[in-house]
Amino acid sequence: MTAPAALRRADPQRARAARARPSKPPTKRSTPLRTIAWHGLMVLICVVSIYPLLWMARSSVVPETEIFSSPSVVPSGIDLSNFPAGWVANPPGFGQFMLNSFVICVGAVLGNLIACTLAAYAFARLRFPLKGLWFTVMLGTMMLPGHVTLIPQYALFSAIDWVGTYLPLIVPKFLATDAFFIFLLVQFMRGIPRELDEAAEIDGAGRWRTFRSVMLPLTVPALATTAVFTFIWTYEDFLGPLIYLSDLNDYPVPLGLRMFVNAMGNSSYGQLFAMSLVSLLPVFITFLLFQRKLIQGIATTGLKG
Amino acid sequence: MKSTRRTHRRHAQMTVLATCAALTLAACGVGGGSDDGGGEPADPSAPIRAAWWGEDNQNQALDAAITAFTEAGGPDVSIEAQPWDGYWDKLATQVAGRDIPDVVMQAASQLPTYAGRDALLDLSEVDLDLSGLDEGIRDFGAVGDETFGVVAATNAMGFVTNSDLLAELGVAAPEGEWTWDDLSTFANEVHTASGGETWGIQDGGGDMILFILYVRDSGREFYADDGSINATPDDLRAWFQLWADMRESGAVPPAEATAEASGNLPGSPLASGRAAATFAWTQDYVAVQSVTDAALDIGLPPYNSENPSLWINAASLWSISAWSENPQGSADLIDHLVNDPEAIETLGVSLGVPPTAAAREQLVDLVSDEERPAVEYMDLVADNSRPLNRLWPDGFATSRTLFDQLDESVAFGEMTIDEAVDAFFADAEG
Amino acid sequence: MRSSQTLKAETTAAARSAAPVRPSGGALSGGAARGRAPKPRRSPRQRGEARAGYLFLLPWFVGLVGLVLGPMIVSAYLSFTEYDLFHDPVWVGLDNYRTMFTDDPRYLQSLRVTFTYVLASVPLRLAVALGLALLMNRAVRGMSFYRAVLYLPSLLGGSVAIAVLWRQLFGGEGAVNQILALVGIDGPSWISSPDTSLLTIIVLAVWQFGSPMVIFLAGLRQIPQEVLEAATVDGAGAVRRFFSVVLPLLTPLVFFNVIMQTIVAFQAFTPSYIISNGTGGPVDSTLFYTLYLYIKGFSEFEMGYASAMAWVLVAIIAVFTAVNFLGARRWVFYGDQS
Repeated sequence: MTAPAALRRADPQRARAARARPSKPPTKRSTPLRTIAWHGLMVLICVVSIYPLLWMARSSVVPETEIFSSPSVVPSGIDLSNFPAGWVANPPGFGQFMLNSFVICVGAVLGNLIACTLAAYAFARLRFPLKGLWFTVMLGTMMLPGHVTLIPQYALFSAIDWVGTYLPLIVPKFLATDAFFIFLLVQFMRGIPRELDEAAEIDGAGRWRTFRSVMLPLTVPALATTAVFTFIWTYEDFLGPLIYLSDLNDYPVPLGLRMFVNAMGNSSYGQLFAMSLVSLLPVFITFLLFQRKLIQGIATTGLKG
Repeated sequence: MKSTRRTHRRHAQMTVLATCAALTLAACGVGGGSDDGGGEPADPSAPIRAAWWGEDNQNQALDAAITAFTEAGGPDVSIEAQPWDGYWDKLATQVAGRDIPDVVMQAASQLPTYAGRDALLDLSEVDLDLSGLDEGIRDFGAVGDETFGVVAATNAMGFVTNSDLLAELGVAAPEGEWTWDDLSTFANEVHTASGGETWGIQDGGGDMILFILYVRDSGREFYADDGSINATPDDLRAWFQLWADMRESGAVPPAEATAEASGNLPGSPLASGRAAATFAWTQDYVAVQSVTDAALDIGLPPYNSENPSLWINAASLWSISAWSENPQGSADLIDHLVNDPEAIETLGVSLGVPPTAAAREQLVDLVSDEERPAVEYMDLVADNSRPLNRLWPDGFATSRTLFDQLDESVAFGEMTIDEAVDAFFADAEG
Repeated sequence: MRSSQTLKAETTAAARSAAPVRPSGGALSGGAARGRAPKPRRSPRQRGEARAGYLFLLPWFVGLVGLVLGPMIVSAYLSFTEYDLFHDPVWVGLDNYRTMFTDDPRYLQSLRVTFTYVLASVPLRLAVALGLALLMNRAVRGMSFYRAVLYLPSLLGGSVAIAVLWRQLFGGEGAVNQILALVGIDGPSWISSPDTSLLTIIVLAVWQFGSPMVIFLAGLRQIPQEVLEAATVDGAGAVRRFFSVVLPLLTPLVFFNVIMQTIVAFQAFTPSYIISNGTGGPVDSTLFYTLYLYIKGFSEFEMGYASAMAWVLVAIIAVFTAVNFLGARRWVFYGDQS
């Protein structure tokens, strides 16, 4: 259990270098056979876990009456008309919904990156009075289900006239109300050896400089995680936009998608599926790109160990 | 010294906390008396907000009709459209914030809740002409002596059959006068004729509206005039038994199949050809027809001419917020949507069948082929119905949910019929 | 070489004695307050650090006081009232709390459902996430593609499309039963039978394993290559390497995931909301705690009762979290310990 601690005790110098050195994924000296088996396994897992999505893709290109008749992922024919139809249905249309989502997401990501990182650094590294209490309070704020604070919060935003704008969706992020990410970043930062920032401080760097030039670069994977999660969770959030936005022109994607399903009557499932797929694209691409960042990030921070 | 300083600081912290809580409480309308919005003279040209639930074609039609209203000199209107699901959550939040839109679409089941709790304006306080509305339909917006809603569109319950399937099986759909016992005979006949492959009818045991029809079929009312329940435990026991027997014989799908299809129209036994009939609202009839290739018919539910059990129902109503700063402008908008010939043409039957004879006459040649059977059915209902003795009381929505839950418990064998009946009446009295 | 020799000795020794590692600090202090005895007087350096600490926390404080605490206090107050949203709340003391435990069978049912869900879905989801993270922690062409594909289900989140998909999978004639039919099993309608409906929601939770997986992956990236290489040189097999090197270094994140996933699972709302169509059915078999809270607050307009439910949930979660933090002393290892 204590291997890493032991390692450091044995040779602190080396441990520090090890920590700072880019951690490449283990390149195994694996045989081709093992690699093929690995790929086979991965493909299998992938297929099983995205079967429902494949079925959804198939259902977006078959006639409405055929959708629920078969669990097959192979369409009987391909009719792409649901895509253009879904795109322009529910004016101002899906393009506008996606743009709105994007604006909200960028604000939220920036807010969380800045505010949560600052708070996390304080909790992970600095000593100040009442810290234990505040940390407990921070955790405590996560435990109350959002549905009951919804109404007082709405009243608050309504009183300062923010309802109908994106402010209630973005400003809280700049005030680090997403305790999840503070806690996440604290856990990451605590995994980083203290020697590194202590060394910087001994060199005369202030708190701010230590934070910026030592801590931040080392936390890149966690920051990427924070950014990706904030983006995705904001992108798919339904309740917040539902309560705070009223103008169709301001709607983000989840509200736009709901417009296809009408519990009281006609639902356009084909269009719903088509637009669900389209709405997945930007997140999927973001994720694909950030995944690379997440891997390269730590490898290219170029710490001179 | 140290301790006093700490106490002092703690005092400061408490003060800050208390202040911010007080601010939020005040903003909530909690604690202080809620302000009634009135007072200042209303400006009939002040912009108003209008909210409804609905789908794309309905949104577009209302949008166009409202634009015309503003262009004709009405106030500016901002639009808040939601699908049904999110609509009520948002409205509840807005109620707490004393912030609901000026013109709100209401459902007959929810209207008593909102009206009974002073969130809606009594329409006698504004100038609004309701004389064009059908007799009986006008009362749908009334709670006591006050009117809180104007019916925007009507619907009715119907008996929907898959005529292709029935022809194939050689079973005739009930016609003319028929009873709930005939329903059971019919459903069993379908089941037998299909060799057990097809269910006769979808499970309707949990639908309190159908139970209300069942009670009214004997000439009585479900609710007494004072809003208490007039139906008897014996009625309910017989009702649950009727459906339990049909489930038992295979005339009605088993509980799992019913639960699986709930809230999923295209997956319903009727739409997928596994059942020959169902009870459905007129708008649902149109919706199911759009997801199946089979020809569907709609006719009267069990019917006797002495005590017609059916009533013309309000599919939706327009109401005005009690906190509206422009009640007259809001009333003008409602008047425009209900009575203006141009608006009637723009809206068509996108909301449902219009509540005025004038509008229906105007639309006769304009409805599409898919919508026509529903519109014609409403005419049939108009001649064979009996208005409800009173609007739903407060608590109707809760009773209806409970009714469905109890029926489900019976169907899954988690409760006996007697237990379910006791539970329903215990709740109604408690 | 010398150091790797030393390492060998230490590593194997460590592997033999599963000596628990003590995270520093108080149970809930995040190990931050080091249990240092308060000194009568702080040195200038400490004062500077304290000032810096509060400066870094400033945005969070503003948010806490301005946006979070107020609504929390209001909801605490409301929990002692009868509040229908339309009228001013009426003080009823402990009535709401009493009703919950003595006169509301649906409440007790929602507790049962939620506990079952938490205890089943959290370990399963984390195990799957960790397993896949390990499987994918290698430099292989196409890796980021696999990763993104596996994250796809989580991207779907609480989309309305899931309700339809799940019926299609777990319905009486769904894909699962068609596969079972191949081996001669006639499966029930999983999603609509009261005995199995909760199971399908647990499967949904496990299926959306993306976020803990990504956190584990990011953690695996932080493990110094040398440590693993050294252990390999020492002849430690893959299994031994995992248990004596990888897992200990990953414990802060395992801990984080356990805490967070537990909180999230207790508050789970969307899955049952969309799959049961907002009812918690059939026969209340998927009546999650927060779904019932929501029905009470927003459909039945008993916001006072809903608030009381929320605070009982806070208490439950707090107990779970505290137990986790206490237990963490035994197994969580932090890199900042000296």
